[in-house]
Amino acid sequence: MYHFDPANELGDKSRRELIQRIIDGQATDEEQKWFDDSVTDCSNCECRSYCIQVSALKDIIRENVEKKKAPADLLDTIKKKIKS
Amino acid sequence: MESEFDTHFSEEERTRIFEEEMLPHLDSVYNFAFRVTYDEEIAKDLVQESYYRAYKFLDSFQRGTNAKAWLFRILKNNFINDFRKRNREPSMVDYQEVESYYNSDKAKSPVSGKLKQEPFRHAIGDEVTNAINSLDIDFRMVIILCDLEGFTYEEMAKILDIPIGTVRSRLHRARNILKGKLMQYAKSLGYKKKKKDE
Repeated sequence: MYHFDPANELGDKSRRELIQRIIDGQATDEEQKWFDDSVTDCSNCECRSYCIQVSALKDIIRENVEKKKAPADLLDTIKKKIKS
Repeated sequence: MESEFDTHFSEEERTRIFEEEMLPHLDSVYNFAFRVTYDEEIAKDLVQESYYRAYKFLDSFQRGTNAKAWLFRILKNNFINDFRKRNREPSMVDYQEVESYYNSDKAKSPVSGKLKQEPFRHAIGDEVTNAINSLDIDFRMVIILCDLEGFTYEEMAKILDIPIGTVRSRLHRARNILKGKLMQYAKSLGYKKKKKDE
């Protein structure tokens, strides 16, 4: 079973993947704890910088991209199609 | 009357499952269709056809599993196998190349280094949508699925029929491209680096 060891030196790719998982809410508790303990307060850290960028990008997408609603007649059209 | 669909559900059960578990996701499914086609009429046709297939093959849906992800997968397959061919969507990305890039030193992107101060926070509205729309379809899909629809990597892997590792690398790459596009926009507005993070 995978065990996350904070003492391990992670490569750049692993760090980016880990941070992406954290920002996307898909990190394990262990990974989240490591991040909270090690990265959140690190003011001169590439991990933190990358984290800020990806978080900002997600926020921008959520806040600015309109979620299109289905046209009013689509539901009836679908119901008619499956009943025909 | 005998149903045209092979099923172990009665017609009544079939209708109930469809209405209770499939139809509530109509807005999300339509939004996904619109984001991959950019065309309201084509999106409507795509959604209709996808729901029809969902109804037809309802027996292959396992109750209690994620109906929304199942519908998205049907729509994606429908789009790839039919609509995209019909509408001559641009060619797919060479993922071998992308994966090689991601695993290389070049992936320590100069873009990400320059973006510490988040200039893309200044990008708004249409520019964000345009930037997403300009992504290759496979990159656009992961952004929509993850950042707009909130699917997990595992669900995305199932919807897109790709390994989770590919989902992650595709997402990383898509975000880097988006950052680059939005940074260009921020620069065009005269953005200059801030002194401190907000």
